[in-house]
Amino acid sequence: MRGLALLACWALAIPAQDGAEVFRATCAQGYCHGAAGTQGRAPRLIGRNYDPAFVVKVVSEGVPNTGMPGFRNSLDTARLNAVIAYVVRISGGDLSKLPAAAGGSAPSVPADVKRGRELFQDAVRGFQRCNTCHVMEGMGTPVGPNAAGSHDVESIRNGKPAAVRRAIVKPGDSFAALTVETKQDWVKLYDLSALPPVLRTLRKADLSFADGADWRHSKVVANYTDAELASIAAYLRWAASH
Amino acid sequence: MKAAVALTVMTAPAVLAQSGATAEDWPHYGGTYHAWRYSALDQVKAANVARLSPVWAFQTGDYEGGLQATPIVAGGVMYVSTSRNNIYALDAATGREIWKYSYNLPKGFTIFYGSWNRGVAVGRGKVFMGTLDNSVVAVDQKTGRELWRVNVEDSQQCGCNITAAPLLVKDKVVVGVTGGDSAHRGYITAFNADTGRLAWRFWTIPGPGEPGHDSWSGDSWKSGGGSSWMTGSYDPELDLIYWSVGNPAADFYGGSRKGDNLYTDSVVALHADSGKLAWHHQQIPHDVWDFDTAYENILFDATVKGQTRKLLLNVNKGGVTFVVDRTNGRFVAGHTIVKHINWIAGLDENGKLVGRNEPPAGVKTFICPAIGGGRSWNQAAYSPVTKWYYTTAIEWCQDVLSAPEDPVEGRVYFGGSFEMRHPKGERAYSHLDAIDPVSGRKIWTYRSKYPLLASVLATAGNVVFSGDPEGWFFALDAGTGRKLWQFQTGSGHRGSAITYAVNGRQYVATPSGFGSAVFGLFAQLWPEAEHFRGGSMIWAFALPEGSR
Repeated sequence: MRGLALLACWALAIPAQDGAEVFRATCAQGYCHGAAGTQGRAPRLIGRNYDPAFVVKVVSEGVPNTGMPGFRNSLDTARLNAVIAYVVRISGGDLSKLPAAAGGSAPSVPADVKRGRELFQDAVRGFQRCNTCHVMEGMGTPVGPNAAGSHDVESIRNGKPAAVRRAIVKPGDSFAALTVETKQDWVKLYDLSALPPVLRTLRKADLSFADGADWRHSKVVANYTDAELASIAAYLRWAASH
Repeated sequence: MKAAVALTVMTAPAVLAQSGATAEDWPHYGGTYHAWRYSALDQVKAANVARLSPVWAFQTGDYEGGLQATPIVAGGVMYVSTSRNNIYALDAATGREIWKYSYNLPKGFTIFYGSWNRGVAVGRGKVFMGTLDNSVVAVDQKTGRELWRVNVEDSQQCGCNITAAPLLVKDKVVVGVTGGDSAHRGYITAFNADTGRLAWRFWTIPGPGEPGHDSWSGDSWKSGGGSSWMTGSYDPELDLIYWSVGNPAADFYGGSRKGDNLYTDSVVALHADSGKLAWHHQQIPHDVWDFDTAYENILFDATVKGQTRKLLLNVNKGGVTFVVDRTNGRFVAGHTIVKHINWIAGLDENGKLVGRNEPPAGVKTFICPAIGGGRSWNQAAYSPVTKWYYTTAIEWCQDVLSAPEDPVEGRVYFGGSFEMRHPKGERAYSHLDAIDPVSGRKIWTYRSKYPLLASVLATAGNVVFSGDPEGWFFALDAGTGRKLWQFQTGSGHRGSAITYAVNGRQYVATPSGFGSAVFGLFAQLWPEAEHFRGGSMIWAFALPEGSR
């Protein structure tokens, strides 16, 4: 408790000017809260008389389903508290009741894990990247299973979920498919014939399945080298234990 | 009597000369592929528009961000999307709901640039929509049942999504992407309309080894913006798709992306089947103002120096209109649509920018127009009868503070900030003008207190329709700009009015419901705007039965 109180005092000791600078570079950007909180697409902050605890929560965690992100992981503790104090001040709120917030970036990871993470979600590759089909750290499309685990280059190249089947759609369209949901009249499945997979809803009457799907994990990861897959494997092993 | 309107449509000679006019249906986002937002219907005309009366209204209930859509009408059914990705099919004559589709957005995600959607594409028995989480979805046109969906890129990673209407060309559905103010590399993507499978991808920023890649210094191409956030046009004869590519990122700071930054702030022409580049025309090399060549491309033919030319007109956010030859992208003409403009001194005879006024890093610089645009994305209209285009424009300015910034993938990447300012010597205001597209001559102007943010609709009845932020939907004489009629719809206008006919009766329909990022800037200049009411409603008007 005493540590928290000390932290609060320390946060308040940061010059207001620093909070203004963090605000300018973060909250006032683009179409958001406007210069000095005058209003943009995001709400006006001046004169709102915010409860300091509310500001701490919103600035730290964001507001789900809106454009307001949380800054807990992108601002260090000093800057996070400085900008919170600034927002409370311009809103006319009571600075003496300001609790401290804890910021800081995500924990540091080994270099090969960092490299593996970058490769897993490498935007330069377009659709030819792992998170086109696997979600890691909240990003990606959940087509395939959770990829975290005890992997190596070989197990990534030759991964093959047993559930991939050949779907046959009248008249004569046949493709590798992963069934997601089956109801009385229709089936929802991922069409894996090309990247990105397409989530299709097909009438049961138009659909049949057969074995022998023409799909290999080695094909969809073909543009990664062995060295790159080794980094990805390191990332997947790290993720399994974090 | 009821068949009269259809007969009139089919025989209007001025309209048959070019195929850009709509008739009974409103089949595409821009009216037709030519994006004229012009209808050949003339039952409602300047002489009788004062008798226009509401015949139905429809509340979507989904009002966050307002109602920004362009409704599509096909065969007497209206298809309209709402800000959080619902689609309604309505009886276009009565407003009765036929079906509703709700896209299930992931829970708890951050919505980049806000909740809004600008419309659907309809065809091949399907309705297509882009989503707030950057997916494309196809639903059955008759039932609203989902047929396929595909994610274009994780929206939390890329800081991007889809808010524009897709463009359906032959068997492909083409979508753009937002993200021009994020650290992101833009693209235009086409999917097979029947299966959802990828057809092609055009990267708006060339990769290593591709022509134009050397217009980016260092690794800046990876996070250089180049969004494609509005809907393209299509010329079936040339088989070319025309799409606008937005500003480079970081928006206000260019020191880390030296070079022309292709194909940002360009119109690109793509072969419809392959997505391969046919030509490009860059309006603003190395943009440091966020002046986005992002808006609609109006395809029209006109006589220039005695020769009939196939042309393309594009108004950009910097308040400059460019007219190019749409067969090859060569500059034909250009003019400004705003009075208060100081980011350039003008254009030379080749359409190159002259007298660039770049904000230096760390020094507050007064720039006109403001980031909201000399015009916003709401579209202009083109009339083949008057041969003028009708566009809104906004006179407002800003203080820009440019600052270096490091890109973080998917995060906002503006490279500075801005404060809204009134122009020197007068208060900010807006206007809707009739302009000759080639000479740039302004024929008439209609003045508005607040920025006009709704699209313009022109008709063969010699009427121009639009709406204002205070909720007034109004009709102007297309020849003189004189106001002929207005109706208070209860909330401001941020979408696009359309006109169509069912069983021989012409309807004029408009979304009503204010919102959007640009509206968010209003309160910095007009504090009362904070109290402007939101909403999300379709109003349909027609002449009273028996009075036509």
